[in-house]
Amino acid sequence: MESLLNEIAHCVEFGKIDLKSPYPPDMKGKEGAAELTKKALDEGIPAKDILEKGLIVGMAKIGIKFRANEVFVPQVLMSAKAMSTAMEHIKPLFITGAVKAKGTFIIGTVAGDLHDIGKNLVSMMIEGNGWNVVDLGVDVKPEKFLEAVKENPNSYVGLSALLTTTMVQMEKIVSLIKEDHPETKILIGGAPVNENFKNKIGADFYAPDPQGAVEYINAGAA
Amino acid sequence: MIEKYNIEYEKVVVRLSDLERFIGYSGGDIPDLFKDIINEILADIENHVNPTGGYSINEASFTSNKNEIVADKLIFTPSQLITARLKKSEKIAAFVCTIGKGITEWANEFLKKGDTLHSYICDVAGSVLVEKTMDIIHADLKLKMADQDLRITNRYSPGYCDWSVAEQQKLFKLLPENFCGITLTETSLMNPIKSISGFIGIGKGVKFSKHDCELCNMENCVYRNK
Ligand code: B12
Repeated sequence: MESLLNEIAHCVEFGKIDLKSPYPPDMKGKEGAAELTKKALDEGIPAKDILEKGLIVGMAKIGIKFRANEVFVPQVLMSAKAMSTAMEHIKPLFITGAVKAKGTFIIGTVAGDLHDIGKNLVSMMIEGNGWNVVDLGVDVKPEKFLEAVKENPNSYVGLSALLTTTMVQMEKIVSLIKEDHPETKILIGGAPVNENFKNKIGADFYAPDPQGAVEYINAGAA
Repeated sequence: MIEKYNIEYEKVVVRLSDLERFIGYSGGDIPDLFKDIINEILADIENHVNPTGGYSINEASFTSNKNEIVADKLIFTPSQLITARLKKSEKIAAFVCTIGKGITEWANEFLKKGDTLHSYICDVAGSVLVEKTMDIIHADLKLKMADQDLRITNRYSPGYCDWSVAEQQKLFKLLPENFCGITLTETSLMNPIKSISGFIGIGKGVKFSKHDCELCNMENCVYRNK
């Protein structure tokens, strides 16, 4: 069982989606995350173990490598794809309660800003680490964030902005959410944002990369 | 004086090597699958872009404040770093350049299908293309000015080197409304997304500097001259 889970983790880490995927070149013709996940389920390995000891392990490894600049965006996208394809087999089990998400993470690019690549990467990495993600998209008004927090009690919120002119929106969003829901943890990110700015606007965490966000919310959920 | 350019894609052309560097792979270590996808996008990109750009040329003067430049009576504060580079300008070209919204729509189509990799490559190719389009306009301005015995500077953009992005509001006043189909939001975001703006200094005493990246402290910037 262990070796199968390791293989699944390996597939996710290296972005091997399924049998027919030609990537990565050294795994051509081999089974991928999708087939191995199915196999593991058929062998009776609990979905929770497949997720926690297989898929998520691979996702965490790629997140760490990305932070260290050892891999680039395309590789992360392949890993996320391998993860989400394998998840198609696991998802039905969420309904039965056999597996549970660690919690909910709400994310969006703030009002006035349309950049979405960074936000999407964060969203994929967090989802791939076992969280339920509510992606509000781009150009998201403060009220919409608040609404999402109301609809998803105990969720974390992630805000993304790529311009100094739009990151100021984050302050409004933080105070609007904190007014009604002071317990909600808010994470911020994007090229112009930093630790100082986080402190200034009263957000809870700043991370320069998705992995930082994953580690922060995982620690909170543990 | 206003100058507008519609540039055919064949004159610009994004190459695999341009993208490799931008994405992070250099020295040809890019996996075949990514190479194939890049080639696929580049083979079709022409049908999704409309490279246009242009500039207005404005009288320039300087106040005693080291940060300020006056262009067509509007006061700009592009930071001391940039003002120093523009200092000897007699005129300022205020430029914008875009490749249109088609590329972003194309990227979003891929995204909707769950094809994040094609979408990402599309997006990156667009970023490279808009800069390369502006390179052509920049080079043409250089030629035109040389005819009048004038030199030009590098290009400097609001949002870089401590120049506030918000100054785009004024920069756009130096150009006709909706110039090249670009509009500016209240938050100083340009639409289409794949657009850039900035100043180029013009004068007898200005110079173009090859190593301008030393001005800036963004060590990991993809545009940095290595
Ligand atoms: C490519 C690029 C462009 C391209 C395309 C832009 C686009 N949106 O498609 C072009 C050339 C068109 C462009 C134009 C401009 N750009 Co530009 N651009 C960039 C560049 C080099 C990369 C952006 C990118 O795609 N990054 C890749 C993604 C994956 O990274 P990311 O979004 O930052 O996300 C990562 C992290 O930030 C983090 N993250 C993101 N969100 C979140 C959220 C949370 C909660 C967490 C935890 C983490 C997190 O995780 C992600 C993955 O690691 C950046 C510089 C840089 N290195 O970031 C400048 C940058 C964004 N641009 C900048 C500027 C100023 C501009 C212009 C205004 C310049 C001008 N006057 O022409 C224009 C504006 C364009 C417009 N439409 O209005 C500035 C913005 C800062 C500022 N001063 O406001 C930057 C930061 C460069 C700089 N000066 O430092 N740009």
